[in-house]
Amino acid sequence: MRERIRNGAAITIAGICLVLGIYSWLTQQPPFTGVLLRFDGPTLVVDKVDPGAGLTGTIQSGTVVTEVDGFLVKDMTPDVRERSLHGDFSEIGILDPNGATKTLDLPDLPIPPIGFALLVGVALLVGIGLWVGRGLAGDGLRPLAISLAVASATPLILVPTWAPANAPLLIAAFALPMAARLVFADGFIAAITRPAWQLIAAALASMATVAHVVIVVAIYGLARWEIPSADLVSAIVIVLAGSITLVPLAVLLYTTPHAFANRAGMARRQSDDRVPLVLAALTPTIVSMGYVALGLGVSVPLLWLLVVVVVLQSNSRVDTLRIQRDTVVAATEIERARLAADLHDDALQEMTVLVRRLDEVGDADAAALARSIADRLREVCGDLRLPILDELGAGPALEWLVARVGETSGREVMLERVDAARPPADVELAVFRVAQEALANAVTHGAPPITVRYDAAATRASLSITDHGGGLSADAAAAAGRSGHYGLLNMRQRAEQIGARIDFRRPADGGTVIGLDWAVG
Amino acid sequence: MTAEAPIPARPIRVAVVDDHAVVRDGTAALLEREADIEIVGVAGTLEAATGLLAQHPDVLVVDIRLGEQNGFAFVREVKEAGGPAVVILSAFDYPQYVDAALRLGASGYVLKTDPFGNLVNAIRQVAAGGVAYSVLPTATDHRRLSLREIEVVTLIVEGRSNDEIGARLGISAKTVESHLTRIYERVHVASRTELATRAVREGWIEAV
Repeated sequence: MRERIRNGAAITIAGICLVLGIYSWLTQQPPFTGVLLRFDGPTLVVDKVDPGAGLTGTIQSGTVVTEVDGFLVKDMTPDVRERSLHGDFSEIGILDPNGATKTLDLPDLPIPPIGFALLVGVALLVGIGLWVGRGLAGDGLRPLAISLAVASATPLILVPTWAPANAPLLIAAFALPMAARLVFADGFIAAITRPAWQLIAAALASMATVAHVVIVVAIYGLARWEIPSADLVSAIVIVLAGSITLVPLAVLLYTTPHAFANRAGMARRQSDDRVPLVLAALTPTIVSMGYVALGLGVSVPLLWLLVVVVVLQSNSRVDTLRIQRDTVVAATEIERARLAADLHDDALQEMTVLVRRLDEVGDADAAALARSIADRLREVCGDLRLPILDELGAGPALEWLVARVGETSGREVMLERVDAARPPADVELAVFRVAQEALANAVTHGAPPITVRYDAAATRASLSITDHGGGLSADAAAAAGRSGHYGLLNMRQRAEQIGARIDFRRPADGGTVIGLDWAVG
Repeated sequence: MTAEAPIPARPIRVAVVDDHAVVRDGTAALLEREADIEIVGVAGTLEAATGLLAQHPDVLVVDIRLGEQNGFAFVREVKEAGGPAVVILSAFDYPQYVDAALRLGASGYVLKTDPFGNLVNAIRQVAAGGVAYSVLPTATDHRRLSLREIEVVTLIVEGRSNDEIGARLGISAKTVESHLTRIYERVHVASRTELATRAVREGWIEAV
């Protein structure tokens, strides 16, 4: 239902923007020459001169005009007089200091490609809608397809409603650093998923909204056109555009309640899903900034689109790799469970029959051998997939694990558990596997006492493994993906798979704490 | 499992629940050889096992892993419904399984590769109202118990009721009850049977 409301709102906004954009495109009369005239009593004078017209120093506001397109002012017919006031002329005559008439050819200023911008906007609307809607930017974003398409395209659609500006500093401030980050695409993904960067993105978008209003009202405000209401409309639509910019960010913040609290511990899967969201939120700002800054040039928006495409592609590659990896792990677990079940259901049962027969015929040696084979089969079965885990849950399974690690390593390992109810099976499996890895690390690198704490209910589970001494090297957790610390990597992966949070800490008093936290939703 | 239980006058009615047909039928056939044991039915699934209850067996022999099904859940159902005594016959000797068996009220736990005589003795013992565990549960820290509590445990092991224990120790039955509650909490047990079994098995008290 919320999705329908959201999509309805997005479509409505897109519709309004389209109408506004097309109306502005069809009705707007751009100041071709950059010179506006007005009558001061019977005298025709220059009202405004666009700095871009290259006439600074020659004419200025108040300069008396004697001829327009070869017509003497005093001989003007009403229709020429009307055209003059609307800027429809190509040369004017002014009096030079000697009192002679000097004719000025007025160069045409570049005509804003506003129609082109509108078309690009519509193409973007359709393109992003299809791209996200078909799941090419990640399945998680599909419900947001319409919102994202509208948010990305509206600034372009709205371009005809405002005029060009000249603020290259803004490009430097917004677009170029982003483009530069393209060089470090991986680092960019990591950086932009950090809550601090999301905060900065939100701040940027807000600032850009304010900047739009300031630019349009202050530079191209009442000074440019003689109709004040045009500027009002202009200001309103730009505020609207800026607000739309903020929609994806609002969604982002709304759907990440712990984004700022969780910091590094936030499950990467969740944050990665939001990379395209952050990009989409920034896109309209960057695109419209580019238009404003470059006098409607399209190079900056196109550059930004390139950044977006590259980053989204690499992000969806990360997604693909993660899905592949998770599939491998899941397949391995299924295979292990199947092997364990086969061992139990066939081999172990047949050993039972064999042991009984050997007992019956009184072959004590062979019976003892058969029993030791059965013991070994039981062990292999448990190593593949501990039956306790499935039949009784993670709590009893951890009890077994702790006892076994204690025996085999000769170290003191303690378990504290509070688990009246069992969380879902996949969570229990992840908890058990993380505990296995963590205990293997703890007995190899840490010092006793080693403590395992497990606290679980049907909708949440938390596990911690604490040791005292040695500990992980300071950057081991960060280096997990690079240098073969497969144990840490495996634990992180298990956590990601169930959407849990995992962190590796080194308290000031030494040792290592590995914590896993999972909750429903 | 060495002590021979007394042979009762009428045969012990036994039902066997195991999903592995060869083991199930082998177990039933070997049990049938005992003069004092009568097999009233066998089952390979929980549904069939529930049907067996209509035969009013004295003892159910149950495997824990029944294909995709969980034998523990069946034991809980049977005991909650006040059903017959249960001996668990498992391929696994995990102490955690034994803990669960005790908690759910099973009277015995025998490993499949144990000498077959263990199962026969266990059936006789639980049919007579006793307990028979051939695998140890996880160790419990009985050092948390006070001297007074150990006295209560000793009398529980002797099979005394709360009234008898109260009379012996000069306290009310209600006080005995509250002692017991605290003991259950301290050593994590759920029943008198479990408490008595652990106390004897783990040597909390002098053998009685």
